[in-house]
Parts: sequence; C-alpha cells; structure tokens
Amino acid sequence: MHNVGKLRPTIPFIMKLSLIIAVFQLTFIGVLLGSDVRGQNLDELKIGITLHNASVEEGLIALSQKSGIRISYAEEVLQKESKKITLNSNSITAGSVLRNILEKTNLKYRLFKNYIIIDAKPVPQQPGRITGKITDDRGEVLPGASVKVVETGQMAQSMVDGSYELNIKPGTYTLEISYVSFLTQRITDVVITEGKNTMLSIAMKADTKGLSEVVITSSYKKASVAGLYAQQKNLSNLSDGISAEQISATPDKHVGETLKRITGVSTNENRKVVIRGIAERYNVSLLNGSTLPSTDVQERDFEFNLIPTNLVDNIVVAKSITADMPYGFAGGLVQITTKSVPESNFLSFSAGSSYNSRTIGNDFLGYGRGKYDYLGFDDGGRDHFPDNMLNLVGKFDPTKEDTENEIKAAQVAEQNKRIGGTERLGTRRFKAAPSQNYQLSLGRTYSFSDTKVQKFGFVGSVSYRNTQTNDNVSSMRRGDWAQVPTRSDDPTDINTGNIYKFNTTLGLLLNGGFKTEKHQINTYNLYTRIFDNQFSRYTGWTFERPKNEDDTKYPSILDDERPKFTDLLQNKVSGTHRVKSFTIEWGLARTSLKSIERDAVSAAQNPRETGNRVLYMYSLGTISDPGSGPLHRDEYLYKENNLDGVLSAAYDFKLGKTRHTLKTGANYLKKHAFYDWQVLPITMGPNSTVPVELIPIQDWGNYMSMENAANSLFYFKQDYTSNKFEAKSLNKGAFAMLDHKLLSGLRVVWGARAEYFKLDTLVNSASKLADKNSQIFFAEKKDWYFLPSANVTYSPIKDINLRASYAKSAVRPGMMENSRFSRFNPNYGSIVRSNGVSSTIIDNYDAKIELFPGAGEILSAAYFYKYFDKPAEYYRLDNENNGRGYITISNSDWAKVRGWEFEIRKSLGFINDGPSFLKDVFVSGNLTLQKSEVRAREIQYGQTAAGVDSMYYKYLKYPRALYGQVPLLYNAGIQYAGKKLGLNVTLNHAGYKTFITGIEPAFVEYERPRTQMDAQISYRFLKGKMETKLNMSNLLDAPFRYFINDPSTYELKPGNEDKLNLEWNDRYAYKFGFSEKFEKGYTDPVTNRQVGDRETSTRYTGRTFSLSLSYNF
Amino acid sequence: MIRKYKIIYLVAILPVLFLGACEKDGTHISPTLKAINKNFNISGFVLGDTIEQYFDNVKIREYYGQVRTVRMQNQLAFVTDEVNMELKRKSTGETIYRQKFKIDDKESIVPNFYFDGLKFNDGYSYPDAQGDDYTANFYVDKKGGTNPVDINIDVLEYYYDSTKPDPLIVVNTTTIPIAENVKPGEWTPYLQIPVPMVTPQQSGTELYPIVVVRDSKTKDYYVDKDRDRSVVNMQIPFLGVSPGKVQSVYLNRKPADGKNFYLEFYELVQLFPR
Repeated sequence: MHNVGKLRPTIPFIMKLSLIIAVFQLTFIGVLLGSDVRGQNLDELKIGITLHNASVEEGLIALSQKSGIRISYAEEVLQKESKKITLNSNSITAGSVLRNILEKTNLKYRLFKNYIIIDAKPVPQQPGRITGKITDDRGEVLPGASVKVVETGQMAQSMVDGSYELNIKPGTYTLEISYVSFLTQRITDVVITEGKNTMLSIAMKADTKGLSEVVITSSYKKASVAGLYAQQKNLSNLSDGISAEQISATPDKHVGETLKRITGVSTNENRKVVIRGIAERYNVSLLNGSTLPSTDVQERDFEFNLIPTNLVDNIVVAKSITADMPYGFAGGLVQITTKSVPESNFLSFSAGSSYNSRTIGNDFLGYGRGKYDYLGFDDGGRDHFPDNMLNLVGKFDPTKEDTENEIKAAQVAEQNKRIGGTERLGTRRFKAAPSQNYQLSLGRTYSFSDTKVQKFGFVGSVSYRNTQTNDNVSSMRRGDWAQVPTRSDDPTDINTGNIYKFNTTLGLLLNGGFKTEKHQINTYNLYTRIFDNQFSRYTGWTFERPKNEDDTKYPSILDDERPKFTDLLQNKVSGTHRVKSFTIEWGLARTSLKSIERDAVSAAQNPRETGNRVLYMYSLGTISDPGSGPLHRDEYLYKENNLDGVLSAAYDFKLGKTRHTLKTGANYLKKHAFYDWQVLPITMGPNSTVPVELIPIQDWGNYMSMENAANSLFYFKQDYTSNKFEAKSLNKGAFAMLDHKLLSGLRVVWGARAEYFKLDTLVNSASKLADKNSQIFFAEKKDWYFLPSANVTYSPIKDINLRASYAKSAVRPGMMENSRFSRFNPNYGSIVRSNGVSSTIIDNYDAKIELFPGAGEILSAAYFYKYFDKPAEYYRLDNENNGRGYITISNSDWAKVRGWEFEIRKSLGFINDGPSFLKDVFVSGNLTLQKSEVRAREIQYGQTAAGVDSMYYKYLKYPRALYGQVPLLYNAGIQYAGKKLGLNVTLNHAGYKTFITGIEPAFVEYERPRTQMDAQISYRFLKGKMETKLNMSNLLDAPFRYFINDPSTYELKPGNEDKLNLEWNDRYAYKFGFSEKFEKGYTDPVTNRQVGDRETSTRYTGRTFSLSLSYNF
Repeated sequence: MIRKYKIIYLVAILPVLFLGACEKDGTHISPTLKAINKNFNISGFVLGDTIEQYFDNVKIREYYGQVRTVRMQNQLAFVTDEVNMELKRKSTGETIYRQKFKIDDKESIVPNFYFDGLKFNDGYSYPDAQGDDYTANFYVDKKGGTNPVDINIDVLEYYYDSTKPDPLIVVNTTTIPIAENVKPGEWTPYLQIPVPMVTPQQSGTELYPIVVVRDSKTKDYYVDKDRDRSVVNMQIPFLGVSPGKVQSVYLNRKPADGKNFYLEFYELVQLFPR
C-alpha cells in the first residue's frame, strides 16, 4: 500500500524527475487529496452525499470530495470488493458515511496523522484439522472412542464407522485416545498445519490384563504407521483393496482406471473385470453394496468410468467368501464404496480432453446424428417405431391385386408414413473430435452439536464426458466372413473394418449421511445417462462368397449402427446401529436400468462394377426372406428393475479372554426384466422396377407411397422379428456366522448361508424363424442351496498373516441368458443366441501368506483351487453344419481352476545411500499363474423306445481350458508420489486367453498374449489446489489379436479316416511345428494356400493421451 | 472472489464452445448418381506394357492382352454430366489416350485399339491373305519366359483304346517346323504355314495335326513339358480345302494354379476384323 501522507511532500520533486514514474504510480495508487483529516471530528463533520449503486472506491472518492478528508488506499484491496452502495442524505456525518461504505466488506479504516487509511481486515488464522479412524489391532472399527487433545482439553468421539475429526489451532499437540477395555494411547508430536488435514488412524491394543492405568505413548509417525498396518491387515483378509488416501496419490480420474491397480485385477477397456485370470462372468461388482446391472444385454459389463475417484471412499476386491456376502462369485467381488459424509467441505472442478492416435485426423463414419447426441439425448430423428404396427406376413403381397390382400396397399402406405423416411440412413463422414470431460464435485459437512457427535454431510457430482474412438480391425476372419484368402499370395484378399464409437455420458451422484456415535444412516443415489453409438463397418468377402476374379472381384460392405440410450438409476438407503454389544446393519436399494437402442440399422452393400467405378448399392430384402433380410432398422428396449434388501445383526461377546461375534441376517433380491424388439426389414416387390441404384438410400422413403404397390419400397413387418421377453428372478438367503478372535493372532470366521434362487421366464418369444418351434432347456436342479464357508487367519508374529479359507458359492444366470433372443454381432461376425443356462456352484479353497515390511508395503503369496460344477461358457456351436456356427452360452460339466498369486509393493526408501526422494518411489508387481481344465459335454437329441423326444449329454474325455481363463497375468509398476510431482508407469501383460470355446479346435478362439504399457504424469500447482494430469495409455499400441487353430494345422492320425465318431484328440494330431498356441505357418507351394493358424480378428485401439486439469476451490 | 468467478465462468463456457463446434449431418460417402449409361464399350489388345485405365483421375483397372467389356462394365455411372477416361502406360505413367463421355451420349464407345507396348494404334494392321496360302506371325510374351521357342506342327498318328486311362494312344509323331528360335517379346515376320503331309506308319491309326510350342534349347514342350498344354489353337491348312488365311498369334505362358501353367492364346486378326 502506498501512503499518501508520505508521498505528499515528495510528489513535487518526483514529478519533476520523471513523468513516466508518475504515470506509473498514478496507475496503481489511489490518491485522494483533500484537507487534513480531523479524525476526532469525523462524527461531527456533516456533509451531503448522494451515491447510487456506487462501488466502494466511488463511495470513498465522493466522501473525500464532499468532506475534504484525504483518504489513502491500495486499489487492489478495493478491487476485491463487489459491494454496491446507495446513499442519499443532505446531512450525514462523515463517520456514518465511512462506516456505511465499509460495512460488510473485508475493509477497515484507521486514522494516521491527517489521513484516513483504508486497510484490508487481517485474515483470521484458519484452524487445522485432524481426522482418522480408530480401530482395534485387527482393523475392526471402534465407535465411541474418546480422542482428547492434552494441551487444550478439546475432545471428540469416534463415530459409528470409527472415524473422528477435530478442528484445532495450528501447532504441535499430544493426543490421548481411550476406549473401554483397551489400553489408552498417547500420541506425541502431532503437527497441525493451518488449513490442512492431518491423517492419523490409530490401532488400539486390547487391555487383556486389566491394566487400566497403563498408557502407551508413541510418536505420531509410529502411531500412523501402525494404524495403516491395521487397515492393511484388515483389507487383505483374502482381499485386496485401495483406499481413498491411496487413490488420491494416483492420477486416476475414474474407477475404471483404479481397478487395474488392485492385485490380480485387470479390466477390459474399463468395462469387464477379470480377477485372478477368471472371466467377468464369475465376478460381481457392487456399488455401495448393491449389484450393478450390466449395461449390455448380451454380455456382462459395466461402465466403471462413471464413478469419479474423488467420490470413492474405498474399493475392496474380496477374493474369499464369508457367509454374510449375499452375492456369489468365483474370481472376486468388487466392492466400490462412495463417500457419503466427507471429512471436509470441498468444491472441485475438472476438465480434460484426450487424443487418440487412431481416431483424430481420420474420418469418423456413422449414420445421421441427432441434434442432441453430444448431450446424450435423441432429438426424435431416430423415432421410427410407432405403436400398433401391422404384421404383413401372409397378409400383404405386392404382386397381388389389392382385393386379394387382407391388408391393403393403402394401409401399408399409411404404416410406412407412420414409420417415417430413411433420411438418417447411409454412411456419412464426420470429423472426429477430441474427447472431452468435465466434472463438478461438491462435498459439505455440518456438525449439529459441539459436544456430541452429530454430523450430517453430503457429496455430489455432476459429470459429462464425450468420447469418440475409432478401432481399426486390420483382419476379420470370424464367423460369417471368409476364413482364408482364396489365394495366399493375393494381398488384397483381406477383410477389414472399423468400429466407430461415439459415447456421451452424463453422471449425477448424490450421497448423504448422518452419523452419530452409535448410528449412521446413509443414502446413495446414482443417475447415469449414456448415449453409446457404435457403428461397425466391415469390408471383405464372406464365407459363402469368397473372392474370385469373376463375380466376387470386389468386397462387400456390412454396416451396423447401434445408437443406444441408457438410463441407470440407483437409490439406496442403508444404516448401521450399534447398541451396546449389538450391531445392526441394513440396506434397501432400488435399481432401474432402461436401455433403448433407437433405430439400430443393419445394412449390407454389394459391389457392382461399372465401366468407370465400383458402385456400392444397399441391398433390399424381399418378401420371401425368412428373416430380417439385408436391410433393417430395429428398436431394442431393455428394462430391468431390481429391488434388494439386506439386514444383519451382530452380537459381540467375550468368553474368558477371547472375543467373539455372532452375526446373522438375511437378504432379498428381486429382479424383473423386460425386453422388447422391433425389426423392420425394408423390402421391395419381386417385380419392382424402382431404380434403387440411382436413388441414394436417404431418399428411399420417397418411394414408399404404395400408389403402385408392385413398384414401391415398404417396411415388411414380421411377427417373430417383433416380439418380447419378460422374466423375473428371486434370490433370497439367510446366514449365520461366528467370528472368533482366539488366542493372540488367531481368528476363525465360519458360517453358512442358505440361498434360494428362482428364475421364471414369463414371456419368451423367439427372434429367429428357425427358433420358433424350439424350446429353451433350463436345467436348474434345485431352488435352495446350502453354502458353508470358513476363514482362518493366524499371525504368528506381528508382521505376518497366514490365511486359509473354504467357501461354496453360487453364480446365477443372467436374465437374458435364458431368452430365445438371438442377434447378429458384427464384431463376432456371428449370431449370438441362448441355449439356456443354469447356476454354477463353486467350491473355493484359498491359502495366503502376507508379510508387511513397512507402511504401504506388502509381500504376499496365495494359492487357490476352485471346482466349478456346471460352469457356463461361451461356445461356438455348429448344429446347422454350415462351417461357421453361432455363439451361445452353455453349461459344461465341471471345471477345475488352480493357481498361484504373488504380490509385491515396496518403497525404495530402504536404499540408504540413495537420494531422499526414493522413499516416495514404490515398485509394485503382481503375478497370477493359473491352470484350468474343463470336462465339456455335447447335447444329443434322440427318441426313447416309446418314440418320445429325449435329450442326453455326451461327455468328452479330454479336458481343455475353461472359457475366459488367462493362465498368465502380471502387472508391474513404478510410482513416484511426491508432494507436487507424480509419475507412474505400469505394464500389464495377459497371456493366452480362451475367448470362445468349442467342441473342436476349429471353433475355439483364443486371444493372443497382450502387453499394455501406460504412464501418467501429474503435477500440483497453487499449493495443491490445481492439479494437472497427463495420462498416456496403450503406449505400445498393442492390438487385440485373436486366432483359431485352423484345420490346416492338424491332420488325421493314421487309420482314422472312417472313424467319424472319435473325439478330436483321438482322431487328429497337430502337424509338425504346430500346437494349440499361435503359429503363423507357411504357404503351401502346391496349393498356394496358407497352412497355419487363422488370425480371426486383429483390432488396434490406438494410443491415447489425455490431459486433465482439476481445481479445488 | 473475482478470479474465482472468472474461473467458474470460463469453465462453464468451455463445454458450450466445444459443443458448438460439433458436426451433426456429415457428408455422405456414397455419391449420388445422376444417370447410368448402359452403352459403354471398350475393346482392343495390349502387349509389351500394361495399360492403366483412369476415370476422373481414379484408377479403375489394368489391361494386358485382350481388352473387352464384360458384364456390368458396359455401364457408365455419371455423378456429374461428364466422365473423363484416360489410358496410361503403366511403366511411364504417360497418358496415351483420352476420351470424354457425356451424360446425354447415346453411345460411349472407345474405338478398338492396339497397343504394342510403345505406341497406341487405332486397331491392329495385318496384310491380306495371298491366294490359298496360310500365313501367320507369332508373338510369344516375355512374361511367360525369355527363352526362345520353336513353333511346329506335330502330326500325331494315333489309335483309340477306351480301356486305357488315356484312350488316345499316339504311335508316331511327325514334326513340321513353322518357326524356330522365336524370340519372346517380338513379333515374327509373317510365315507360311505348310500343309501337313504325312503318311501313316501303321494300319488302324489316324492322323491328327496340332501346332505345338517347344523350348528351342531343350526341345521340351513349352508348358509344363506337356504336349497337350503346349498346343496352339490356330488354324492350319488342309490340302485343297480352304482359301488363304492370315493369322496373328499371341501366346503367353501363364500360371494356372500354384504348380501348373497354361498357354494363353489370342488370334489378333479375329479380334480386329476388317
């Protein structure tokens, strides 16, 4: 600030010295010249003043002018004030005017010599905060523990979840923590910094000898490390997890990125979770304790990207089962818990953008977009499915006279008009935009009492993301596509494609909670809107029409567009109540998913070589097509409503010096699913002369008036292509469990649950003409299952845990897995259909040894063995003997999976002579080695002696690998987490994976090993308020490569030519140089054909670089 | 406070800027056709160098050997009112012929042309037949091999035995030379084709004259050392039967599949009738 009083005598000579200096100073200094102030007379000096919506500075200038008082201030101090002053008085004291101007501002005045000096009020010192969790040495939370600041006498009590919080002036303090039956602990050297949160979680030691007078004293550092130990030990109860503090040290933005950091967990494009090398079908994901419905109808996946990491309290992946877990799994149970009551108020905003090397700069193809696609909503342009459409099969034939048709041409014309035109059809070129994402998160916490623990709070977030990606399929030889080139030396005989994905996601999350010492009630609410438009475009030759130089010289094109709008709403209320030795937990959740594919289009284009160009013409269907034909627009509506409730009560009691808990409870999960589909083939009469080759497809709607029925295009609605599925399932169970804390370091948890499951299909229509007369075989043996479990933990010494467990679990079929719905999947090149699936019962055996060398460090080794009774697998079947088959999900007889799992996470701080930053460098790695075998079975149909249709299974004697298994999986990473700079490099490798299984090698598809490298750099600015993150994923541009052991790589064993009923292993053997693994092979010089494994699909997703900026207000 | 509001304002306006810049309709990748003219024709013969055919600066196909219009290639698709065709020499990229076709043209015909690898000609020139003489010139393509070849008439003396896998039993072959040491890549002069005059050596046999190609050095049959595959399907004179004839024979040994070859044969006088 510049003091006018000091300036006044010097101004004349300064101005003489330099005009520039004066201009400079006048720019930055507010100087109001006037007569000497008579401070003591401020309230006696009366003036007249009129201010209308004046700023503080304008008010002070007016005051100075009217009163003649000199006022000194710094402009930048006034600029921070937004106050507007309105004052009109003919006789008011200067003091009143001044106070009026400065009222409710951050300004004060003082008199100095003859001036009034305007200053900013001093900023009050902000208190610091200390938060943490009080647990026992086994990691069990201790609500109601007292936390006292010795120096000030300030007290707090831990809440029902064991958490506590104290606001305290900056300084160094000693805390004293006490709890009945536990030794009091005194923690010294707890440093509280202004405006900062100090984390201190404390593990209490039980007072087994009645030593109530003994107080354990330890330093802050030692106590916090012990607290972290206790949490780690608790988390790693045959589980692995990541806490909010650990997540905050990573640059991850959403849960999809974070999951990969957990031991034995890998994700497929942030959607499907593979745990311990076991496929997504055998893993369950819970958000705040409730299951997440799959966002895809025919596959199990969930968009983990929806959940921002800053709202996550913790993620725990349980790998062993206790009786109180209501959902069965075999690989792992992913439990994502979001915050409900934040530790402190926060408001943060983040924005980011990303660049994909295979998307940006290339054409982005698709059909017509809607005005609001970027906002995730349809503008009505895809609405082509009116109610009460007429089924034309057998009722309308355009070649017949109107009088001979039950449905008249005019009615068809009216229906065509109601359905609407074809303006949106036809492939267009767009420019790919970089991905963009924005998120605003808010957290507020309020305390209702200074003396009691009564805390209310909420967190909320609004997020928006738009992503456009272009996957490049460099080779497609799956399903209906030509499996091999006609001539091995023809480089143009390839099938290629692109998958263009346009995704807009809106997310709204609002959680709140109320906590007291004994009670806690939370509500969790998640709403998500996803617009996901996947446009696949493949170019190539088909299995039925391979390339030749005559009539199939040019490839054909298959377009498939699926604009899908999904709404997911989950509301949950849950509570925990501790009354004396009882703990009651309950939860009630409602989840609804509505997913609608509006105007999905499948269109085939065939080439026509003219003299001057190759024309691609959209093919039209005919009225004699037994299916949807080559061109159809579809609508698929899926709705699922889930209602689930859990209730449990635990009673803690002592027997001698041992502590025990008896827990019992029940759970209920009701699901109701609907699926409606409408398929509208576009057809033309057999004698039509409409010149479709000259009319662009977007104008075909103009030729649907039916004035000349034989010469019109029309929507040929068929009954079986427009039908529905409805099913209900009920899953309920009850459990009893005992938790014994025996001896020092020995804990035994055992119990059992009885579980009921029933799935009823209420409506189950076939979507294929061929399936109209077939029935789903749904072989659920019984409704009730008894599922025992036992876990033993033993700590022979402080830093070592030994664990063993057994549990029986049941993985239930999905609702749509028992539908008769089938649909062509362009990326599999095949129809995916259901054959009926029953529950899989799994016996899980686990053993693990853990060593905790230091805070945040772990070394562990685990062995697991699992027996699957009736595992469900994705099969390729060829019941129609067309050489291509279709994909279905079906139960095999049994499977055995056994494997090892190792983990290391270690700080480099032990390198004593190294630089000090090494303590912030962690190396981590995990390795899963696994082997599986399955006894497969083949369904056989026959007739009994009485001529009744029957079915039975033929069991295969040679075992093979289980579907979805990854025998080798490892992650390695190095992380530096400094105060400002963070660096992270990770390498993820997955070995051979059985992608789709089958009865013989020609149908079994494997994914080749893939190594992905990611890196992240983050930096914090502005005292940590602003953070920028640069994520680089898939730096090696590793493709997803799939293959099949082609029949050219194996041959008949001698003498087996006529033995058609032999199992493959008995009948065939691999040729020299070939095995089940991928071998590219060679070109046979005689036939000019490839002898080697068939590369069924190779897909590149590109390198992605994303930059995000977040600011915490 | 002001800075905070500025940040919020900027942050709020940023998505609007991004969304405002987004495309909605795109550009159709399939062109809209104005008309399809169904009277396009191109014919000719190409040897020595490949011809590339461009329409509106887009290469559509290559020609070597006989040029003809097959199936739908007799159609021209008009996206604008004109279609411009260029024929280029593949080895040099030089444009050797241009033609413009208009949407209203009743016929779109490229005159029958002959390209000898260097020069683009309006048809193939050949002499008139002289009396009853049969004359022929030969062109053996270098693509099939650079060794010189002999072209002979082989008169097969045979009988027929249907009990044998190959029922044609040749008991004697008489060779009558037509051309010797024919250098691939060049036309021979017009040579007289003699009337094959052979007397059967055995009773019960018949005579059958064929024109075959042999390797000049090894005297092996030219295609896969196989007589039947090395036959030239040209006409040879019979005594007192036919008037004179001129033939221009183009031969090219081409791969049939991974292992075998066949002899491609064109008779240019028939392709370029007067």
